[in-house]
Amino acid sequence: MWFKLSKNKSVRKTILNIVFIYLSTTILLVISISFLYIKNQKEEIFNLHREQTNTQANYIISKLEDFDEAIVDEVVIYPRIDGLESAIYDIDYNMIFSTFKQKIVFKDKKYISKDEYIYFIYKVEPYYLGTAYLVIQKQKGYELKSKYKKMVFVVLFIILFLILTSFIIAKMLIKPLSDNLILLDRFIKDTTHELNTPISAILNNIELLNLDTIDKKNLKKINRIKIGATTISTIYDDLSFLLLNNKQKSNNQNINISQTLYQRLEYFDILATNKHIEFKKEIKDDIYLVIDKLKIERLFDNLISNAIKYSNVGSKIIITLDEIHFSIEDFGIGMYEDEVKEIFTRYKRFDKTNGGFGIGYSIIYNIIKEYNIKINIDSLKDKGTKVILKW
Amino acid sequence: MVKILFMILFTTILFGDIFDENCLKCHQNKKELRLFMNKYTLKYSSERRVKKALFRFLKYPSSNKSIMPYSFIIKSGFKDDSNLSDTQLKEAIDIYYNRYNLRHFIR
Repeated sequence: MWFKLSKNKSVRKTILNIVFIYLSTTILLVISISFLYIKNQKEEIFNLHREQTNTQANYIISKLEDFDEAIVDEVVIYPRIDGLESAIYDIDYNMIFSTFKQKIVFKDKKYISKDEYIYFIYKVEPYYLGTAYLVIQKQKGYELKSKYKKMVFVVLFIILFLILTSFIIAKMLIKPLSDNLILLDRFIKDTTHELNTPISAILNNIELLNLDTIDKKNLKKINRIKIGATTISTIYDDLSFLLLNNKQKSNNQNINISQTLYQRLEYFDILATNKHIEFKKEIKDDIYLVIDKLKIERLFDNLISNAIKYSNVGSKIIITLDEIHFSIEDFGIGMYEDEVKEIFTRYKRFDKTNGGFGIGYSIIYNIIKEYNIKINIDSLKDKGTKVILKW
Repeated sequence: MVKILFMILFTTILFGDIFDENCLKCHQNKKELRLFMNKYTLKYSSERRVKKALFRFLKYPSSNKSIMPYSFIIKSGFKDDSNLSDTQLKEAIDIYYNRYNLRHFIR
């Protein structure tokens, strides 16, 4: 469907942000205009009603004037008009006489609206019988109600229209970015697929080589090939995990993660040796965790390869594992505080000098989120980084 | 206490109230009293304002405080300053207002 949101989280978030800003500003504008329109209509209707009551008000005022001029000694009959209720108030808003059934308060107003009535307030001067205000009650018409109904209908229609158009606009705005992301994903997918066979062939053949028959100079070269192939193999594993395995259901088993960690350290040994990095292992044996084997491997691989990648040549990496936590500490380039905050963003790379796609921490994040593992990253620029996982 | 109340009631019946005793002696024309009240009401509107203006005038009468036209003042002259206490004067004004203000007669 044309309004279907992208599967990509950041694209979806951007679309929703654009839609939210666009909608909130335009809806605010529409509501403001509607409010002003209704206010204007209200004034118009009230003015129309007021014009109709003007004649009746003038009649009552003239009658009050008559009473005041005639010095009467007996009862004064208040001027009543059939079907019209009215009241007179003095300058301090005290009621002098009223035919209303309810009390009203109207300080400094031209009219008030109460229940199903509108009360029009006329100032009277001089104050015949003390009357400073004449108030005339009028039944509310249905004009305003029908205008309100129409207005609500129109506003709802506009809002609905805005919601639909906002999604189209957001999608149009985001399309180039979205296309690039799709292209990048597709490229990685295709590349990954094509990489598998040659990498496996290289690594398998290196393993099959009889290293005793090879002279020292060539052995060094073969080691370099092995390092390169191992690096590519790790990248391949990450990419295929991100694109394929991450979408599959986890096959959780009680895994001896101490053993897995040893295996992974051995796998990366050649990369560490190449940079003269020493692994300082504080690994407790037979630590078990219920987890997908592939996922714990990806978790360790990414943390170990990152530590190697960003360690200084000739430094050490401290690896600790016990019943409740795993930690890996390197002494390398480290990160700024802001960089640590953004570390889990996919394709985010802070150090452009080292290779990679910037997907390592995205994989780590997905795995720890799935298994509810807490992560803590302590990093100091040019000092190193310590990553602690707690379960 | 009962004796005091009885005395007050007795003197009121015998001599009339403070308004009758102090005002009606000179202002015997009820229409005139009504006219004054109408003029005050026409100008001041509310009970509070009418009573305030009446008090101000009766305490120290003068032409600029009077509600009546200059010709009337020339013809009738002024009474002397009231010798009633403020409380007595206010009481007399209350009685005058209640008896002569038209708002009490509207039906």
